[in-house]
Amino acid sequence: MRGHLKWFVLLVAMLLITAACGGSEPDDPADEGDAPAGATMAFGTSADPVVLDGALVSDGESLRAIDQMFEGLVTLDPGTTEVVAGLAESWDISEDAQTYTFQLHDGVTFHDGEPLNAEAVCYNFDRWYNFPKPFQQADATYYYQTVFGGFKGNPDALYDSCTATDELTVELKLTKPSASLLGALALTNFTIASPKALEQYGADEGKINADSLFQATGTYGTQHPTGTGPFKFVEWNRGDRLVMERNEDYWGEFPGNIDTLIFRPIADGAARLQALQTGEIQGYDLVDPQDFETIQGDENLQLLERPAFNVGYIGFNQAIEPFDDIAVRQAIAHAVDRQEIVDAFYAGQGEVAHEFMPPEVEGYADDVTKYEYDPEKAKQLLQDAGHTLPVQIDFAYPTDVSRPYMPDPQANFEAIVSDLEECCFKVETKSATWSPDYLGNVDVGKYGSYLLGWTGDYADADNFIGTFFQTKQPAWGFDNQEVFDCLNEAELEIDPDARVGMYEECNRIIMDFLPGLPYVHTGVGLAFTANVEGYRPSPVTLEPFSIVTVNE
Amino acid sequence: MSITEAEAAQLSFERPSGLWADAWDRFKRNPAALVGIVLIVVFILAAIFAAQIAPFEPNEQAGPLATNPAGPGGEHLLGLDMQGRDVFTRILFGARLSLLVGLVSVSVGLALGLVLGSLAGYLGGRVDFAIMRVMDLMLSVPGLLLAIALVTVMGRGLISIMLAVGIVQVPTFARLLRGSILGQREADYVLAARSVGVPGRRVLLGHILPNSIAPVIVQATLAMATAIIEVAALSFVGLGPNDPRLPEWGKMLAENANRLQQSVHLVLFPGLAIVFSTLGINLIGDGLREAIDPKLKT
Amino acid sequence: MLAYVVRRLLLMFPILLGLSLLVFLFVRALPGGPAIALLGERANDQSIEQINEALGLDQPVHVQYGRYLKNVASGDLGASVRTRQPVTDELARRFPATVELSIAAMFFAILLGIPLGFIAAKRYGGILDNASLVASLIGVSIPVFFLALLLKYLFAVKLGWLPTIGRLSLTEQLDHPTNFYIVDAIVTGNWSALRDALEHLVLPAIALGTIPLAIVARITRAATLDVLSEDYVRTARAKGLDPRVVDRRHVLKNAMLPVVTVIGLQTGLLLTGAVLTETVFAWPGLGTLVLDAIRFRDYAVLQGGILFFAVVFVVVNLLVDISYAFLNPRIRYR
Repeated sequence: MRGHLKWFVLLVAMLLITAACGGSEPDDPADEGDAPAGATMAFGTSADPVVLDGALVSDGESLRAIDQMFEGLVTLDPGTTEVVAGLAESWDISEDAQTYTFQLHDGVTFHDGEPLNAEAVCYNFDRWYNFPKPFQQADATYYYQTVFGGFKGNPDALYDSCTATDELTVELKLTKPSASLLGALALTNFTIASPKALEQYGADEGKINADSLFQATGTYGTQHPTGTGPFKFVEWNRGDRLVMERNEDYWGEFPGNIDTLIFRPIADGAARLQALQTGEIQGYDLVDPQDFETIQGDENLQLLERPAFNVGYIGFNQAIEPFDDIAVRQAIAHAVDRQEIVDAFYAGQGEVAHEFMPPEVEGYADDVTKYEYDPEKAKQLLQDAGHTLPVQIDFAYPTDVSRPYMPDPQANFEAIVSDLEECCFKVETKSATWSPDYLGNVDVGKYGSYLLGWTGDYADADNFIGTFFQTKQPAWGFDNQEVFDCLNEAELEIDPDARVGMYEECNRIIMDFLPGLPYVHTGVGLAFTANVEGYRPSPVTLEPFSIVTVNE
Repeated sequence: MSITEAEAAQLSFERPSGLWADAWDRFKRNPAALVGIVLIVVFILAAIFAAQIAPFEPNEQAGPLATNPAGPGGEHLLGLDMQGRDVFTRILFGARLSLLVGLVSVSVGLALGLVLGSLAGYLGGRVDFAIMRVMDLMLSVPGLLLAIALVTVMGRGLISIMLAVGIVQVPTFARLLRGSILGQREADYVLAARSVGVPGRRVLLGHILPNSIAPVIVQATLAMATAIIEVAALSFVGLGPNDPRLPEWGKMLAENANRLQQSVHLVLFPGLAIVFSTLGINLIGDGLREAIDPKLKT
Repeated sequence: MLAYVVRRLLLMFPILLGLSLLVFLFVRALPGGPAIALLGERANDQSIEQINEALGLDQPVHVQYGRYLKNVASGDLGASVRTRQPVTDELARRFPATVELSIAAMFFAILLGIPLGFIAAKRYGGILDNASLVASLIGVSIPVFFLALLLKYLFAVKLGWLPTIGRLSLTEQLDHPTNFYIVDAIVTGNWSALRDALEHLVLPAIALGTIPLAIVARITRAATLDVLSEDYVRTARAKGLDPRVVDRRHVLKNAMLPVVTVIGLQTGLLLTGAVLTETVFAWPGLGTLVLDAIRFRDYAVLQGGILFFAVVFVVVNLLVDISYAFLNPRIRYR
């Protein structure tokens, strides 16, 4: 071993010599310490944005970047899910919840100098509603379709018309009542872009390429995103960096001191931490649980926590035996020591989940059936139901992925399998790469049980349990009209209090039925250097950098 | 690492009589090769007696679950992993798996390569052309990429990994064998056998193949080392065996590659196990090569 | 000579055609589809169908292949379903990164490997010879990703001497006329960026260059031994020529033939190593591009990437053959 090491040291030394020969240049030893004028913040992200056009994205990294440069009619108070004024300083919703009237701020301009007025806003709504066919693919406009039901010509479309009744008044008419639209308009996907820039840089232009795939030919979303936000686009070098600069003409408050904001994609969590430690970046998102200790133990770094807004669960597919047997589902719930897993693998950020939605979301019921860790009881349940132990089940986990609700799926999986086998099951393990194989297999109902989870888009019970259980789905393989009805009725209820009560009831029904076993809600770690102040983690990751200060 | 066709042809001209005895003699006197033997014997013993030597069961939870498990020390010679399992135990059991996987994949590559190579070499003509163009095609894709592609298509699992790694080695064996057969087709003893009316198949099986076997053995030994590394590499890019609890070295290392900073022992020890086992095999292969033909001082 | 080159060039076409078919079939044989890759947790049957239709995946395979070939011939490799960027752009941006890394690795391997092998041969059987033999065996026994991780752990994480990932520090501003960062830095006279880019290059290049280094050393040693035993060398020695002149003029020059071949072959193998090395050091090259494409079922990128890899590989081998023919006149007439 020693000779081996020596060998490497020798090689390194020789390479350094050759490298020096290759590029002998006047080295200025003092070139390390030049502090930038005005604060620069480099932030490590997990990936590049897809495109910088809010209407066309659904991935977190695109949304994060767009949030800094664009604003919607309404927004969320930083760090919360409370809807507050954005470009609209006030609004009015008609009795029948079919007409929304927005009063815009005066004196707001886009980054290209164009005024923000009612016409510009309506231009955006019209653009979305009239998206040509290729844009109508779910991968392009998932959120528009989810919120507005469809495009022009679609009978389910919620949008009726947008009228500029005067310079600063927007009247938005809907085809049917909606109580939840206002909250949805806070989504980054509905931020307002400069009509002139959209046209000038061909935001809606595209060709169908040889693969029949829509390909934007315009440069709007890659080189000229133009909004009203606190930061302006400078340049985007894919795979390397996205650079934004402070919008000097910003109409709103800009309490922070960042002049230059750089997003740098670094896929690997360990690499993000190293970049932070070496000072290449001043902050990053999605801290790996194993790095918490390191960051907390380093006085030059700080750790922030984004509140839990997710759920990790074991899904059961009742179309596959023996998961159709409630006794088996209950036995699994009693056999898995969820507390141990949450304690060991979530670095103190997690809490054991008892429902399919986090406690912060309205509609969470405190009195659902809870399943404590009790292997003996699990055995008893199985035996009473006439099973011979151990019961054979299949169980799958995804590889090549880290999600906030399961930073290391394999670790969770192995621990769960070990609990199950220790108690009373024989597990046949299955796995596949997360995307598309694993998700595909789950969706078509190929696995008997599987690890999965969900991160909320907005604070609404419908976004959690509605997504999972409102209709019959192969992933769950059950057909329980009681559950479907409960969720359908709750979604349509306009009275907020009644709605909350209905969702609580749904949660009780669901946890008795036990279509899956939720096991964790977890916060997500964000790391910064110690000199960064003012960052406000938000449950839905709407986090402005304009309020952040970087001290010398 | 592989032997060139020219070398193979050269190697094969050795007459079989006395070759093995001489070779063994030379092999014995090669200290590097003996080190290789010692290394491999250690690994083979570890593989056979894993259950007796290991202080724990490979999937036994011997300590607490932890994101940052304890390093080497105390009861656990090489530390614990995230599931609280004993790393030393798992490395011992891993020897079993790695050696087996290496052996099987080389056998796959060897078998297919032998068949294709001897067909091409012996039949010549169009068969030769067709086979060798397919081999060229396979060689024109970098080996690991080809293995990745094959595993992706066949689906993950021990079987498809062994097949993929084996298939990647087919062209090497096929070329080697073809080269050495071509070198011998016109050799005196073959011509002699032919002239006394020995049928073609028997000439191939009874005379040509045995005489081509020396370079093949060397290459197979070296290929075994490559196979172990390639299996580990597949694990590293996320295409390892399906069952996460299998103590496969490459998999153990790959799973913890992002824990370098906190738990370097989870990367270091499986990695060293790979290095020493492949080193042992390479030393033996190298020794064999020199032993069989001392003129080849590569 | 020219005829030989032309013939070799012509021979490339069937190989390339075969490759394109192989790559095409491979991609079609993959389980799952890009639709789910695009939508992730949010996929549903309807949206999957929509996307498959848009991608033309509902048409017969031979129609798809025909269209694919036509496009490739016209230089259109399609667009990434993930980033929606043309694949050719993506390849053009990533290729220089991989080439830069490979050249640095090869540079490292040749610069150290040839002297090492030569000295070992000159001291045949000595301690140095055996040491270098063992060292080069260790070199080929280390999985490249393990070596990369060790180097990263030791020199970047523990000692902090060198950067851990990427090609350039964020603090450097560099224009990219060529996307070869070293060249870019020299051309624009940006010396601090040059130093920074070189620092980023060191560890990945050593990791990637170690196996070629071991092999180049071994082949140099073997070739030198062969040449040393040749008559003309003995004659030259016997004539009383300065041994250094003999070494340079006869031994090294003649020993270079197999070395050049091996270097060529290794350059192809470097591409394989690059996949793993790039992953460890988050090097934005072709290797990481192809791996990501496999993970995300980005058909167009995957097809383009593998095809491109293979073409580079074939071309490198061609160049090796041609230079071999050039160095060794006897081969031309075969």
